[in-house]
Amino acid sequence: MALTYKVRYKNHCTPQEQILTNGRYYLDSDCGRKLTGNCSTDATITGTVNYEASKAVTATGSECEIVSAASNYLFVFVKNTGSTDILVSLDASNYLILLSEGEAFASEINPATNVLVKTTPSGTSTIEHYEAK
Amino acid sequence: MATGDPVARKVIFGTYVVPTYSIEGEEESVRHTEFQVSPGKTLGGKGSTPINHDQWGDGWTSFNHPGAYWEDQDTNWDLVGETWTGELEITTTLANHQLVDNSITADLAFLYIKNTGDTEVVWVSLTGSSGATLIYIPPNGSVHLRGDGTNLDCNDIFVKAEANTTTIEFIIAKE
Repeated sequence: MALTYKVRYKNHCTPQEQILTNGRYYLDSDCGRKLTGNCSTDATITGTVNYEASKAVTATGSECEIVSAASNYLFVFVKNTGSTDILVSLDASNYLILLSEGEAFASEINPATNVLVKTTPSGTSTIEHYEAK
Repeated sequence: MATGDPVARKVIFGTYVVPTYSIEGEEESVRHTEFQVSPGKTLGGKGSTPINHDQWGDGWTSFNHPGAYWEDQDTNWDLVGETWTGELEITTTLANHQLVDNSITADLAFLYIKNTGDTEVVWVSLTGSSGATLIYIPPNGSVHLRGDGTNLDCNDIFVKAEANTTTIEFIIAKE
């Protein structure tokens, strides 16, 4: 019996514009539609996964490493389940991705990725995260 | 449809993840799919972020306003390659595919990229043409993210095809 592991995921967004102050928002006319991608991981997932429903995050990134260097994970999902904004680094040094409460980042990643999370600029938060390889 | 210049813009976004495994029965040629034991459910998140109502140029998205004419394009119309069809073709040379002109140094508020090709994976760098490509986008997949508001600038984003060529659609919005 052959087991096949897959991660199917969708990242979608709806750009909107407001024409009158305090007026309603319309679909942004420069884009003209809702945008979405829907796919399965391109890389082969062997079934090694890591899931944690709640992990504490502090202002020190090294205290919250969810993908260590050379661990060869191919997919990462991280969601801010706390109320303080968090920053995500994919290379253990540049914290470039912002997640507010309830927001999530999901992507297939380079196996060399080293993912760290910290709060900004201080305080504590929690995350839900999942990785697969 | 709304008409006139916008006084405000925002992007509503969401993520949905379904981790599964499937198994083919020994005595039946039927593949049965279930959630992976951990987490044993779907995962997701959603949010909304304001972006600047007056974007850095007409190339902030690969799409075009239905009322847009080439001769009426404002500044920076030619800085993002050939996206008149709504898609940008990219090759395997990262340095050739900076999504905005290098002069656009504004902080990045929101990035969305979809791989609209059929075969090749798109690799994304958030740290310039010499940076590591740490985000992969499979065919028909997409990625979105909010910038940190300080260090990630619009001109930091570079993309390439893993092999051959592919096409993308994108939004790259400043704060």
